[in-house]
Amino acid sequence: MKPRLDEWNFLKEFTHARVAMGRAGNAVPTQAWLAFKTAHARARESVWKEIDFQQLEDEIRSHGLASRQVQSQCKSKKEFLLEPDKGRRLCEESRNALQKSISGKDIYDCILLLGDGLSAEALHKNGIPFLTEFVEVQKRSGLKWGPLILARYARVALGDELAVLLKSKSIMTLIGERPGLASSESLSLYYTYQVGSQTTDADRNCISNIHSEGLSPRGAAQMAFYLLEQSFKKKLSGVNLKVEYPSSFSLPAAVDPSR
Amino acid sequence: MAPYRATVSNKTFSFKNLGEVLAKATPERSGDILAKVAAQDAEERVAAQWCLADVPLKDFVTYPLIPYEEDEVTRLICDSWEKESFKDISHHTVGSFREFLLASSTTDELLLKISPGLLPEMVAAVSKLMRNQDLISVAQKAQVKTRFRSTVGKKGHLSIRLQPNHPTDDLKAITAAVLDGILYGCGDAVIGVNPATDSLERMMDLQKLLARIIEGLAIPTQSCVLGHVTHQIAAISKGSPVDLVFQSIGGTELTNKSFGIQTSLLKEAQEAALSLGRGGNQVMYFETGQGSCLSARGHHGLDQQTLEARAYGLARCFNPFLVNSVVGFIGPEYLYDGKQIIRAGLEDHFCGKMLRLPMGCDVCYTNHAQVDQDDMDSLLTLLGVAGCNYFMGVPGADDIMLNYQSTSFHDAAYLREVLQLRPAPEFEVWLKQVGIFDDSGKLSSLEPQVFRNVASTLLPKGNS
Repeated sequence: MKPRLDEWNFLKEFTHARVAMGRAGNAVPTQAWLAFKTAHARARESVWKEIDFQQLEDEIRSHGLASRQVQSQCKSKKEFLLEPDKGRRLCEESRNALQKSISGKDIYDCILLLGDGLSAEALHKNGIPFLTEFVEVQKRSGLKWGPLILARYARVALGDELAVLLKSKSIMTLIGERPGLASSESLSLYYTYQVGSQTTDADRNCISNIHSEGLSPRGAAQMAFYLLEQSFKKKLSGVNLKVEYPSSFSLPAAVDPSR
Repeated sequence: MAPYRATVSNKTFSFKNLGEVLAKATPERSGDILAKVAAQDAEERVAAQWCLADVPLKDFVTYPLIPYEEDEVTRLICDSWEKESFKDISHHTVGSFREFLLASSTTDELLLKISPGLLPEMVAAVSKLMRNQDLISVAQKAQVKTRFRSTVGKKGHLSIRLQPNHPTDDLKAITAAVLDGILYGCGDAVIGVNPATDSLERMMDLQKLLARIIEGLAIPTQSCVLGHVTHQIAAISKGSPVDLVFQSIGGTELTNKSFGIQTSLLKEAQEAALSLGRGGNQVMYFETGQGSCLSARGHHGLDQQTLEARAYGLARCFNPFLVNSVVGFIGPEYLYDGKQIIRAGLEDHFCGKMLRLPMGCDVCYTNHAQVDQDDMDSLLTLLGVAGCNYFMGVPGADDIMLNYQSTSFHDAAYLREVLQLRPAPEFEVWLKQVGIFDDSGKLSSLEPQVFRNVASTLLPKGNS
């Protein structure tokens, strides 16, 4: 099938959204329709991909960093998809292991958690590039950072339990987003200050769409820096924290969208 | 409290309270199973429905499902309930109320008259005894019209929210998606962007961009940037052009707390938007969705559809311009497959319309649910027949920022043609003026030169 030309094809110069698709009657032309179905099939597959802890850990070590692995209460991907609450709690084994590792007097300012969420692929593809940039942010922040944690079958709120357990003032969770058609490799960074049993989603800040067609890992790390700085200054997070970026700072895209 | 029981196949089922009857009478869905409130099996479900059919509507007034003292949504719902309007239907049970709604003598005027006397829980209850066909035939009686710069919800008309989202809120990319959608006759409900970041500055850039497009092309429509309501209030105070104020809402105080809102904040936002006087007195845009209360651990042991109706009870206190459920967005933990999403979409539209809300629907799904475009076509068509006020228009149905599939510009053209529906009247006149629609009101087969000329000033070719 040859692509049909749309009079407004030039719109594609500005966005990777499905613009200027042309039409057959009121419907999408055949080629565009099959392309959509192909992307859907790929996204469906990517939901089921498992995180490869070994590979991630090796890559993290090659950057001179250490990490710890944990798992939520889910025992399979299917359980993870259907029982979100289990993905928000640590399994007994992980909990015990972490508890043993804490010295009692350690109080951290923040912990970085890398979780698979709904896309292990996202973490594999964009997790390390983010981490490489984020190491600088950690240094610049002047905060006391706890251990780097890798989590399997993790929902965002898994970080709440971790933060409480490890006595950290805040938690930053980098997690795979639900795969879309345009990208199965998108990460989000969630942040919560002063985590506790009363924590709700309104207490979280989110930097989303970290992937090759979205926000660059470097841009996300820079935004995280301002977020941390202002959160610790104002001692809060969530909807009441209006992060202000310096006027010199423009939200950096991974690629120039007007390429 | 009255004993709630029913006998089916020589087995007697009893239910400890009205909330349990409602939950167990609900058609099967994964979210209620997850919340452990669903019926054990089909027999128990139908027993609960038999039981519910005999419950007097008065019971919902006597026994609030979530106590008045505990929950501000209950307080708002109870305080805005009009006893006088309830008088005409106070003799009904849920079962006879279903028949009343379906009767051909029950006209839109009558539905309008009783509406202030309906509690959202009554509407949810009756929907549980209705099959999909009932939900469609009763909802399509109700015409709920709203007006900002365009008029949405008139019988025989179908509007579209143009949703041109982008993962980095790139202004040119968003402009390109807006132009593409307008070329398909979309955008008459609102041009509404979900911002990717929570930066106030960027939100104001988006508001200014949309205002520039709408004013520049003289389009009879309105804009909205769907950031948190506190951001929108801040933007208004800084002089940003805000047409509609948006917020996600849920059916309980706890759920709304997890969204970072309470009703006083919604009031403040409404007053702020009204103070700008940009297009009328309907300035609010709400989104909802079954499952949000459970997700926020604020469900009080109730089923997700009843809680959803309570969100509509909250919405109607703010005279909104647009309300839609985002029915498949939440994921398979709450609505497992196409069948469950289709059912929920029809329920949400019906319940909203009974409470006289200008209901639209985001007919959508995520890639971890057991759904595809065929299911979306079914729900879109069914809701079109039911008289849904508006749907979403996303380029190619693929939202590249929120990572889910909604309905497309093409879908809008399809539905308008097969059901003979027209855009908002003011918008249709404009579409003809700029050559996007031909004189017969169809998408023109000719290049819309007039539109092209103005569009090129917004997005000059070769200047990317």
